[in-house]
Amino acid sequence: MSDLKITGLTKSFDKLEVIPPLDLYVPDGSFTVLVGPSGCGKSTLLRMIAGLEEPSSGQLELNGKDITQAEPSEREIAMVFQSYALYPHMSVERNIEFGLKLARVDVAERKRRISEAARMLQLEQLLERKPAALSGGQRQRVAIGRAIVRDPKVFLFDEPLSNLDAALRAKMRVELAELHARLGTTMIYVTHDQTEAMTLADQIVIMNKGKIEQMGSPIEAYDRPATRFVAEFLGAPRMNVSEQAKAKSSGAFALGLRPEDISIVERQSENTWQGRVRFLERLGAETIIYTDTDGFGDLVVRAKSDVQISPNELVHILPDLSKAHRFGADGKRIEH
Amino acid sequence: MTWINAADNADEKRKGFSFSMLRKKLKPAYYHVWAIAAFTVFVYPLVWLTAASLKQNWEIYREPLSLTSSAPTLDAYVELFRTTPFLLYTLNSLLYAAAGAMVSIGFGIVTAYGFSRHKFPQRKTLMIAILAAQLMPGLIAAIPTYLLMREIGLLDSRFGLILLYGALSIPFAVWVLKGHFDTIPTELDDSARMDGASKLRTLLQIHCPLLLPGISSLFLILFVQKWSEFALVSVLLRDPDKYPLSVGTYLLLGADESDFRLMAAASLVNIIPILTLFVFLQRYLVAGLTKGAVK
Repeated sequence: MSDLKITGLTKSFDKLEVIPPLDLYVPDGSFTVLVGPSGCGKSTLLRMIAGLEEPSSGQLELNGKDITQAEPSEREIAMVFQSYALYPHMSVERNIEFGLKLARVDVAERKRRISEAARMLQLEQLLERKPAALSGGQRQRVAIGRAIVRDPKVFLFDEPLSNLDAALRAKMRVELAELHARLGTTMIYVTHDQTEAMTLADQIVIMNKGKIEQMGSPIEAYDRPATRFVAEFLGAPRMNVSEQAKAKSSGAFALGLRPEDISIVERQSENTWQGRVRFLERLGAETIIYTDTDGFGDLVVRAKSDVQISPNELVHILPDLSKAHRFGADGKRIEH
Repeated sequence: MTWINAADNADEKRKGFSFSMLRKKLKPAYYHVWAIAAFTVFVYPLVWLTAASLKQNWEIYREPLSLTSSAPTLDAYVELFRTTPFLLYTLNSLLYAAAGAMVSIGFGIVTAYGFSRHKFPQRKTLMIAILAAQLMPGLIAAIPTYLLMREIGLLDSRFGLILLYGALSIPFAVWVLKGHFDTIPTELDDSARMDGASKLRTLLQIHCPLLLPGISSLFLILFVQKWSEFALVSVLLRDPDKYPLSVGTYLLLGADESDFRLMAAASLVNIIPILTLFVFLQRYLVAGLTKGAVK
């Protein structure tokens, strides 16, 4: 069992409250992703879990044991940093070994764990190299290796893929998911990239201004966003949210429609809206159509790639209102 | 029409071609001229010293600018080390310069660490205050320093001189080293902390190896500075056995007649340790001097 329970955790810098009282439960073996825009407090929360930042108040429990005041190295938690934080003057092997040495693990056991991690992460050929002689992906793997050998109860990842190019990021995403499946260890992962969050998480925690807006499964958060913020944050292109006439007539302060829940139709009917095409993005697999719609305003539609349409054209838009999301003035979801 | 244009172009091309060729050919020559000029200005005195130290005294007086000798001899060196305590002076100088530099660097590292890694009130003001302390020439404080050293019983003491040398350069060391510290990402500190390293271990095993270029260049600068220091040491030391090279060389200046041959040999002995240090540390020197400057 290695579940993490956070109760009433707060953090203030001088008089500025960065994280108001926060509760979070991370179940054993879960892949929990903390996601939110920059400055939302997700990294601060992660650093408090790691022990690198001292909470202003509140409690952290790992396996029912209070670790709020414990030193980072005593928490049985390992962390992978955004910049990997490899020691530049040490070889890959010594980088991985450093923590084990300090934990007074004996030489034979150290060698065994290093070679096991190296095999798992395909680092065997690189053990003698210095970090400067490695590619971004390799450095990332060394950083993960350094975490793995400590056999932690919880892994923390602080935006570990943000320094990689798009192709490598996609590849490492798959590797991380596989690693989690293989190790089964609890992982807490911080990112501002909602694609990473959606694909990796089995529990997603969406944060805004230090508060948790919603947590649950990624699909649940996507399909039933608890707040307008979550609705707009998850999904690319993001959800269309309007406060104009169409929202008022639906009895809500704001009305949200996902681009995929809208279609362009040829014939006008009582259910269609009229809009003018402003701009098209042909992505190959699909086409994103930006329109200006009467009573709704800016509306983005996700359509098939072969849609015959051109800018400035007047089109009939058919929204699937059964899938529409309604929000109150407080930003909270209104159930149908 | 086309034909004329083509011819013009070809002509232009040919002209440009020859010009650039000429420039390319001349470039190495320019460099050589400058290099030789610079070499002459900087190295001629050194060569002259070497030549003079190998001459007889009368040869120096007869042909002062000549670099050759009719009968080169090492007599001056033998005489220098035999008739004067020059070996002792050299050892004293080595001790004062190396130990003084190390004291500054030791205190400098710890202080710079604090300034770089910890936030505390008036941090910037304090850094400026430290810089201001460095701006004051050490000689202005010679009399108070003398009185202070006498009060605490460190007058005419090797240990006292080392401490004083060390203390005087701490501000400079702090400024140089803080610049270097700031280039080391704090994520490395976090990472070491997660690995279970104490602050001291992080400083010694993570920071110091990364500061090595900075430390080397700083050591070299401080060493040269202490090595050639004359004013303070001549005020603070009384016992001739404790004199460094700078004072020892000065003592060679006779009241009416100076032995230039001996002076030349002594001057070279002054330079050799510094040159040797340069050779060993030059690899780090350039990296060290430039790295801390830019964040």
